[in-house]
Amino acid sequence: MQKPRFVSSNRLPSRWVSHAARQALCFALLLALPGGAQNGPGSPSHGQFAQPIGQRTVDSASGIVEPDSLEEEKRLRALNVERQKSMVSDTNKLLKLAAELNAEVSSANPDSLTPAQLRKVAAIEKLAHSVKEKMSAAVRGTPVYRQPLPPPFR
Amino acid sequence: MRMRELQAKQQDYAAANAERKKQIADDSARLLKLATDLKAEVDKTTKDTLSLSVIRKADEIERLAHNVKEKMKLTVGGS
Repeated sequence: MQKPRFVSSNRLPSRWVSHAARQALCFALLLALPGGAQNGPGSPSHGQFAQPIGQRTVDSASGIVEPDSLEEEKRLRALNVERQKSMVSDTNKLLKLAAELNAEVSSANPDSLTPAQLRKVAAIEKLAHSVKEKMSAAVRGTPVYRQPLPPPFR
Repeated sequence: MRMRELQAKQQDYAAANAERKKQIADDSARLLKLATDLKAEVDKTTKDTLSLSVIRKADEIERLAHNVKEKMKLTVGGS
């Protein structure tokens, strides 16, 4: 294996090259974060995103809504409707299972705990988790009243 | 002597199981109440609502169901 050879005359150009690369990287970062400097300490914080998902991006100068954001808004509204339906369905199933379980457990023969009941409880646990996640991950298609959420567990 | 010890142990197991079954019955009744409350809360929401109450209730149901499941495992396995 050959060792790399460093020639002293190459040092200066390589420094120039690395300086140019750093400048290019900074420029690329600036392009990748448009409007990053506009988010001052007083601006509202919505978690990871500077703007809530699905809310209209309006050009402040012209007041025109971008067509892409309209389509995105429609898509997010549809997702929200679907999420709501799914949440209602999960809650109905959960209530049905809880009623069945309660009837079975508090029946005349409480000594018989069956694996089927165990499966029902497991299903209730999963459904409750699903409802919680669906409500937590509400996609905002339209402006909504936001209640402060507790900080995420780490 | 050993017979008596065995009988005493069996009685202890039976008492523990009976207590656990009573707890399971109580927890099941509570689960039903929470599920009814959750349904009422979810019915109030729209697609644009972010309800903390629903999140809290669902979380409570999840935890309670987990507890009941663990108790049931012990009881079903032990009996």
